[in-house]
Amino acid sequence: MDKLVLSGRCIYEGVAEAEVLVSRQAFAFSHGMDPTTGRVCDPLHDWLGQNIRGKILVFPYGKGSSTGGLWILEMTRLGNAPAGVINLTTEPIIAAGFIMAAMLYDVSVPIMDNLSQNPVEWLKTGDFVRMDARQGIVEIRR
Amino acid sequence: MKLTEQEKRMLGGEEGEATSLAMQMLTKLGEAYDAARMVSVYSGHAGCVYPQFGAAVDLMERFAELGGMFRAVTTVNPVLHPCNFDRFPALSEPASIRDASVRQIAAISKLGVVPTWSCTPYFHGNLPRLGEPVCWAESSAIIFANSVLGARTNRTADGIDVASSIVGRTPEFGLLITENRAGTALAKLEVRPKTLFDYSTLGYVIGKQLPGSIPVIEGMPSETTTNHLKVLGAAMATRGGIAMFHAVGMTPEAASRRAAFQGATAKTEICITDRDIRMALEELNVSDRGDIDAVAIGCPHPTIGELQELVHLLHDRIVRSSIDFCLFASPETLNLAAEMGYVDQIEAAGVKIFSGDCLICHFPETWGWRCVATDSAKYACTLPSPPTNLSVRYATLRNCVAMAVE
Repeated sequence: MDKLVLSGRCIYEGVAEAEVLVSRQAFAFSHGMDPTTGRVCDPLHDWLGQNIRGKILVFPYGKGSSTGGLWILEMTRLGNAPAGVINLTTEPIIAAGFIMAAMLYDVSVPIMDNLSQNPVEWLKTGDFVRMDARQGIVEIRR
Repeated sequence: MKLTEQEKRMLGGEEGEATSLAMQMLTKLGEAYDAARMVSVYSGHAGCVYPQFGAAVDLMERFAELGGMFRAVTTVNPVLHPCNFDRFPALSEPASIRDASVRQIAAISKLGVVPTWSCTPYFHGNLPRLGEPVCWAESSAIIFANSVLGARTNRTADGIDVASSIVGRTPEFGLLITENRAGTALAKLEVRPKTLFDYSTLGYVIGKQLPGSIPVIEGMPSETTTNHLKVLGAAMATRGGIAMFHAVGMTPEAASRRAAFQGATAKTEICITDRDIRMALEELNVSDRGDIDAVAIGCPHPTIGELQELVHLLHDRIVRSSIDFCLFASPETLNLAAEMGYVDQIEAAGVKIFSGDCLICHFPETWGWRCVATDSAKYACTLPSPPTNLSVRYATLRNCVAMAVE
């Protein structure tokens, strides 16, 4: 088994080991998924119908309303949070959502961006990844 | 991030648990975005949405239970407002949602909110000066604050607004820093907007063509009003996630094109033509055929001048009984409108007035609505998504009235 290691910037600390879900499209938590199930419901997104619960989400940018933080909070309250988030650039709305979620519900979801390689191209859906945001590393096992 | 001695005490809990929790959130956010320090904020505007989300209620109640009080003078967005609960029996929400909204309102009131219940805080006494850092919620208010007032706010998540207001500080990053406020794209107008509806459509076009940018708009008519800029920005923010624009010769940080770009040159340049406007009108009319069930106006909340226009358009006319014609407006503007006799005239025409409220807080599918007409490009963008799930006829106020009256 090969192990690749990428480095990056920590947006929110924590460790996660999980399968990744990768998209080249920007993703909105607001209106883009159902917080009661974790299923993606944005009809224009290539994750439509997939469940984000427990996955490490890899997408370039966030988009959508500044209520996104509340969608993240509600999803976390209901036990449907992803395991981690990796972006090209993480928007403050997503960072704030998971920061508040950690403080309100004690669920820590690590977030990283600015990786040494473009994660959207390097990572494939189904890859198994370990991320340690504080150390700033992402390990891929294939 | 370097914290002052006082900020360290706040973080450590010496100024109360709510302040400490809020400070923890703000420090984490500031660290993530390499903020060098916190800056003081004296003005806040809070979102208070989604009572159907238990987490939204939890968040507000947590701060209230921990004894939080706003240090910044903080206004608040429209809500599912109890004053409208029993006025229109066919347009009401289940008890569980009402209760959650009442709890959320009680919690934010305990924090000391100024009960404006409006998305246009700048028309209700919340007017930060040029260059003043603030931390506001509400995308249409954020873009107005940055662009029209020249105040400085990031587009942050709901919740961070409340935390900043409690602490009276916010981390300095993003649009709080001068260099990050330079224009990133040039939008030249080959069209000449005249009405509020024209500006709303134009905002949609700019948002669609330049998402995530700081557009510099050239060619704005000299007749442009503050209210035109309100609807322009609202549509731009909703369609394109835009937090700030410059209008050359008009907005405070854009005395010239050069000033707006802070001396740099535009990386992207677009021309907006009649064709772009026509395409936008087609896209925004998700439902171009079939009858409307309702009309929804007041997004963003109208000025007294807009209500005056509505009174003129409704003169001697009555809304058909099959149509719910709903107006959403701020309590303060409605007080003025009542004193001027407008409220009586609007209600006599059969219009249902929701005070301090917004359609986006409701579940109109359960009222039997399928298709709604609106003059707001922001509503036209948001209403087709959950939780409202409506198809939209996007039309001028005059045409909205014409579709609805007998």
